[in-house]
Amino acid sequence: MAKEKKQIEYDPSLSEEKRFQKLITDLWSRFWIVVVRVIFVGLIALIIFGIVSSYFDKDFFEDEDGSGIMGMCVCLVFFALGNGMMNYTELVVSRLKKSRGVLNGCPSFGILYSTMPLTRKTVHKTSFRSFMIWTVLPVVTFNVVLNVLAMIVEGFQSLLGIVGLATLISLAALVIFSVLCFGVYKSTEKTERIRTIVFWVLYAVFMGSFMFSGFYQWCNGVGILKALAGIPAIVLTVAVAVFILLREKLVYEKKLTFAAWFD
Amino acid sequence: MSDFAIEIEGLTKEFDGFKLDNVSFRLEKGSVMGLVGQNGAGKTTIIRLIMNAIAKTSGSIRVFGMDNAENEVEVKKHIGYVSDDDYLVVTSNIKKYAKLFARMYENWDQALFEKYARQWELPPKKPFSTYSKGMKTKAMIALTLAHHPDILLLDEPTSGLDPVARIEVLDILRDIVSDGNTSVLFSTHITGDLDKIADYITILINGKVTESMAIDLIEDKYAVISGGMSGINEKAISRAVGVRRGAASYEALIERKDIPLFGNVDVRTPNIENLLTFSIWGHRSDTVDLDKEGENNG
Repeated sequence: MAKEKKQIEYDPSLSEEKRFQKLITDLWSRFWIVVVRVIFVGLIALIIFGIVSSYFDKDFFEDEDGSGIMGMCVCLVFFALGNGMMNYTELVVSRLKKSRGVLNGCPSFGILYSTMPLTRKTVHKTSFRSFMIWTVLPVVTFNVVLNVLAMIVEGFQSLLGIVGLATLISLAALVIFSVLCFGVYKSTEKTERIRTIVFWVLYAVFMGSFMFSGFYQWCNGVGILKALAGIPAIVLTVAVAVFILLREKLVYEKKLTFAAWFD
Repeated sequence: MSDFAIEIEGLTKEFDGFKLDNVSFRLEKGSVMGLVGQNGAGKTTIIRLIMNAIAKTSGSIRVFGMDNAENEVEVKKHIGYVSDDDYLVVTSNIKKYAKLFARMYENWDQALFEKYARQWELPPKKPFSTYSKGMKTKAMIALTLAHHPDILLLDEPTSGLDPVARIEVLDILRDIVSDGNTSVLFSTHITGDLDKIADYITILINGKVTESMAIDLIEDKYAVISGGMSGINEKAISRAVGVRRGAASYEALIERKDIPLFGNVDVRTPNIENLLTFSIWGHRSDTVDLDKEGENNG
């Protein structure tokens, strides 16, 4: 006899946030969420492993190694952003219905959530949590690993400028996206558009940089980038992560207490 | 706990080019209130404010005595919301939505939901993109009723439906309100939707409440008079709620106590539509030309 699926029931022991997280899982299905997460996390882990295994015992670095590190940094930031934004639920204005929606502009979810026993703050906090775990954490880990390697592997001395640049670019991406996604109290169609433009400009800059020979050589000669690599970069990375967290918790979430859904 | 399902006091919301101005009314527990007005009068704004979808500029909204924003989760456990603007994702289906509602509502009744879905022939696994407008409205009503809300907020649920679907949806709503346990705020610009349903009516014109009263009291308070233009009492007519003037005759909605001022006129009992239309005409200008209205309508 076929096994009958268990009927979902209201669980009074769950907090509002837990209940909303389960709702998201119901919506997208646990299977697909796990599959996508495994793929993204696997790719990110592969990149971090690639950095360690490729450069850990190298005595001498060439320009190609610089572009390799930058390429890994770029891919990691994009995988991390994609992963963190998968159940991203900041409320934005939809161009389609001229009403506000969630999940990358689908207005129906926004309206649905707003009719349920939920608060905007809960939906927002869930999104932010996802951003911290699936975007900020991998980028921080990558930067720490890269800069520790830069300190302990002698051959990295010739690539410190690239390490500093990779750290700066990944942190800039984190700050820009955290501000655009979580720091704008009144999220509008305009901020949605800026977010999209910033995403593609960063992508174009990253990809374009590979096309100019001598770019990495030039970076490695920039004193400030070289000075950044190592301990300063690790400190800066941690500071940025703490800044993003504190800004959200101490400023933005307070503004969302009792906030209306679409104002 | 309060005796009222919804209490609105001095509610104001300002937009660019529109102001919902100092709106106050109360919805008694177990009663049905029709919120009527033209398109753009502010009906949807009031419902969206109750749902905390948009923030009020000033005033207060209490649901069962609780502030609707400060106690949003508790308040929304009691509210069922059906609107013209559906929240159904076209690629999803009603079976999936039932799961979401079951997750979120303590009083979710799967058997009741399945009963409605069968009764209204809503295919559980077909995507909403294959549903007609009427089916989508019925789907939202099924999802809403299955969590046994104490308050139903209906925001023009019949708007955009074809005549058959509209009658079917109204029949469903009549069945629901007949038990007298659910409080209903029913926003519509089609006054016929409220026949045999509403206990109270609140008329909204250009963002202001012009009347909020029990429907039974309409005939006690108001009367529609008609007479020849030659016998019109201009001083008395200025007291009317609204007037329609023609070349030879006029009609006016007046307070019943003023009937003696008008002399020899025909008097009839107004209905909800009379109350709404004369109120609108009264606010639009002093009078409406019957002949021009006739030309426009004809």
